[in-house]
Amino acid sequence: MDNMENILELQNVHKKFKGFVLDGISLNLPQGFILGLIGPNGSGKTTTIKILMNIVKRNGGDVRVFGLDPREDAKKIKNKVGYLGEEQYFYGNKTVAWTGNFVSAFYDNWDTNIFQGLLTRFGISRTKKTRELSKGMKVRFSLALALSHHPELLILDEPTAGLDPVIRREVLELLRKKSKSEGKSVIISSHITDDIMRTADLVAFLIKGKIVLTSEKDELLANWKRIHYKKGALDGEIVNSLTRQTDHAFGSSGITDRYLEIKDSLVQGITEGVVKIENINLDDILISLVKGA
Amino acid sequence: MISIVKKNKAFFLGYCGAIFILTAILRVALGVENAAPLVLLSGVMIFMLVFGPVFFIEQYEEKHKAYDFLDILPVGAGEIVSAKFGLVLVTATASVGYMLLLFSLTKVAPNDWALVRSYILMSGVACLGSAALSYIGIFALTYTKFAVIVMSFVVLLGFVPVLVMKFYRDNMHVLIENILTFLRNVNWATVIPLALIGYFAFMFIAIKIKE
Repeated sequence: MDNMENILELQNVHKKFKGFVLDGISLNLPQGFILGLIGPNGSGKTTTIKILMNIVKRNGGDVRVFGLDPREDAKKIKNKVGYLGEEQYFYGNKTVAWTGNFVSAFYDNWDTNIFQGLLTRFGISRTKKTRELSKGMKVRFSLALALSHHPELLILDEPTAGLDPVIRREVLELLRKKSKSEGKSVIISSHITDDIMRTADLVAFLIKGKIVLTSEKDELLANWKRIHYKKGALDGEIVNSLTRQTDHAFGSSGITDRYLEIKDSLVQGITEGVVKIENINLDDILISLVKGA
Repeated sequence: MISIVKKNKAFFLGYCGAIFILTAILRVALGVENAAPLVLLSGVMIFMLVFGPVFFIEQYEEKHKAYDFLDILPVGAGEIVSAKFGLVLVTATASVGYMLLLFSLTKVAPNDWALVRSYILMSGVACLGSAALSYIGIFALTYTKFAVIVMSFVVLLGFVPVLVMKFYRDNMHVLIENILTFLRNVNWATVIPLALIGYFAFMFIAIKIKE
């Protein structure tokens, strides 16, 4: 993956607002991959994404999208990006068809057939005014707009916030399919870790304006485990390295972030039934990182 | 760029068309002999034609969070601002041209024609400059905040005639004569290019603020 072409590169990016600092963000996204940006509310996910779109101006650092700097080539970049934000803004008194026609005028590669096809697939009436669309319909409509100009990169900022589980699943599956079958790169930010779990190849944890961890998702989940153990079953060094330790009926438990490294030393305890290993999800990892931050 | 202004074409054409027709009706009603009221009205009409679309359209943009919508599209601040400034320039030119055309069809004494022409051109230039400043204010502060400031300013402006009356009570005719002399002697061949340079300078400032 290191040798792959990066479609997106952030190096030491800074942004200062009153009461908030984005502090030296560095991230890479290789072509054809889905990067999940995870973090609690207010951690800087939206600011990072808005810097990519040149909606927010960075104070320092270097940003390249398709090798271009958003501050100088925002128009060229946006022509190749499909963007879906947490909030969808349209001219409320205009129809779906009018909005599609209006947006199409700004893109070099607008494909009316794709747009019409997506409207049909999503069940969106062309004659409906955009203010009459429900939250879920607005997200679907935004997605149709974002996908109709053959974007090479999709940037999605909390795209599923406020959606019901059915639409959420539909949106995520569509994104996954677009990435895998058409080689599109995707950056998706969310505080709903389940969304990232279902879609992402790579994950980056953003906490209090800093990237605290980036990894391939599968490697991350393979390394982060919860270990349950009876007193004396684990080596003291391993016990000390566990985070979020709790005591319970079985004994004690804690989370490790280097399971593959210590796995061999746990085999005997597992065989004797005094050590149990439990898979954890991105939520647990996020909480561990937040508590440790 | 055209798409940005085209989206408001129904409102724009309806609004401007109504004022053009209303002005024409007034001209017919007042008759070809009676130019004086129409001269004063022409300033008001130019103001309404130039400022109406600016304020109505910006209110509409803010209501629908249009700039947040446009932010995600491949369109630069320069294109958005120059589209809006371009529309104001076209409207001001058309309004001034229309008013001059109406007066060319009205009986105006040759001696007064320079004055009428100057008054109309001055109205156009003043509206152009004020519209440009309004856009700078709207982009810097948002429409709502700027509208509050303008309303406060308009209220204060109401006191200007009172102050003028107070200070020029005994010399009002001198003041009016000075204004008329000034209007008769404006060198429009110089003022119009300078006004346009100033207008484009304001447009450049507005682009920088919008960016």
